[in-house]
Amino acid sequence: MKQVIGHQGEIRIVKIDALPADMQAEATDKGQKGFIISHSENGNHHLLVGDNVAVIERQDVPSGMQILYGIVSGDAELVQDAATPHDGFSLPEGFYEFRISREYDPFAQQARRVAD
Amino acid sequence: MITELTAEQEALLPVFREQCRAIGLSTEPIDKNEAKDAVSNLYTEAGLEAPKMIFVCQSPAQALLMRAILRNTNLGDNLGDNLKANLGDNLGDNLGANLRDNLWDNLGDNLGDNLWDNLGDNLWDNLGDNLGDNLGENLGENLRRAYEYTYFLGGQDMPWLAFYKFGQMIGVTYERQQHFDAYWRYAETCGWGYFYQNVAFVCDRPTTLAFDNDGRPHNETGPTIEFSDGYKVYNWHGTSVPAHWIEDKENLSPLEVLRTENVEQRAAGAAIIGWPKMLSVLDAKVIHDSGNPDIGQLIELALPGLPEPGRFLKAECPRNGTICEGVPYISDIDGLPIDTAIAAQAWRIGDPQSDYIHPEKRT
Repeated sequence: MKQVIGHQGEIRIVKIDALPADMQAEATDKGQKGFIISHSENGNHHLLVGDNVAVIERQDVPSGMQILYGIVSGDAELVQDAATPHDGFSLPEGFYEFRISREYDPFAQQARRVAD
Repeated sequence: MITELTAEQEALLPVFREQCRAIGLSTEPIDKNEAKDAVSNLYTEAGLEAPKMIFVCQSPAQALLMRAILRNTNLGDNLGDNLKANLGDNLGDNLGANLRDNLWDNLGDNLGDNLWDNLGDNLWDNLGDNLGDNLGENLGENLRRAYEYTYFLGGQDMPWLAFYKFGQMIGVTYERQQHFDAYWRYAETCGWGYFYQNVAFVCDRPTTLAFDNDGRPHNETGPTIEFSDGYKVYNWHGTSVPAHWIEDKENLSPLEVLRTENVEQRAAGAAIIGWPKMLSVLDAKVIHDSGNPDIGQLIELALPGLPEPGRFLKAECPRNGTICEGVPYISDIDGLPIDTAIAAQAWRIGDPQSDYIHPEKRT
């Protein structure tokens, strides 16, 4: 059972019953302010903040995708570390899937072909 | 003759490959004395007299400009030993190209092909095709008549050196073993080099290297290649772009991007500037309108010089205003055409379009 919680900028937040079976995943490190769910070049990272939280990143993902899972025991919050941030999401105990939206450049390959 | 690798040797390949990659991507300053010694050694092992003068330069650009100045002013005549005349043809063939042919003969086709597939090809993508070629093109464009091609890329020569070195490590012997060792030592200790009779220019390594996840030079906020003398190269996913496109992207005009002759740069510039801003100068054709600004429209944009229009999702973001993001024609998730705004939304987050539920809350 999936429950779509919302989108915070480029992150889609879905509450799930359990972690997917047979996935390849690696644990991610917790930074000083929390777990980085989506990295920003200018430092406005999206962070999962909470005392009893673990985050793993799925490795077997479609091209260009980034999918992370939050294991929240107690309460957590998804926030953005920015002067004018996206509004936060309070996340009660449970499993969460975070999908970082991807982009496609329709012209890059065409341009390379034309240039060649 | 060795024609196949043992299981242990196969297992060693990826480890050695990454060691070689680390040498090629090093941004540590070179040791000047060690570098000069390596250059002299390369000359003597190739059967040439060691250069009387070795200039250690901060970058290939500095080396080429110094060479051009020495060639084109009277200063060169005063340096003795007919330096000016020596700065004509570089010693690429004597020092390197002849060696490569000889090494290949010794390595043998079977083993050579195997090692190239595992070492050379892999490293070439990163170090040669992307890094070396990019820097060379940039130097050619900026220095024009002062530019000269070089065969000596220091650590960036690892793509071809690595597989000969691995062959040597597992017992292949080369007729010109010491010459190869000298070349390897040069690559380990130096950056690019320009070598002439009696005169050599050896360059420091870059101080900065930046790549995208595919190993192409890429940096959204600064140079991709930078040397200690301030020479910088800027790239967008491997495409060379003018410095101000990156350093002052807020003031980059969509019209300037469209006027750029090079179509690869035009495409890169449009991506740098962002498609919402490019919308002001491009005609958009609406393919599908969801009727909900939050879900948005699927639109097509054409970029002058390119044969096919690209598809984009145009929608409203509560914080960032209008977003405009590229999507492919066909989804890799369900294999279906992306013909609607919902299908584009689904592709962005990796869902089949039949499963996509648009959230009520977006921040």
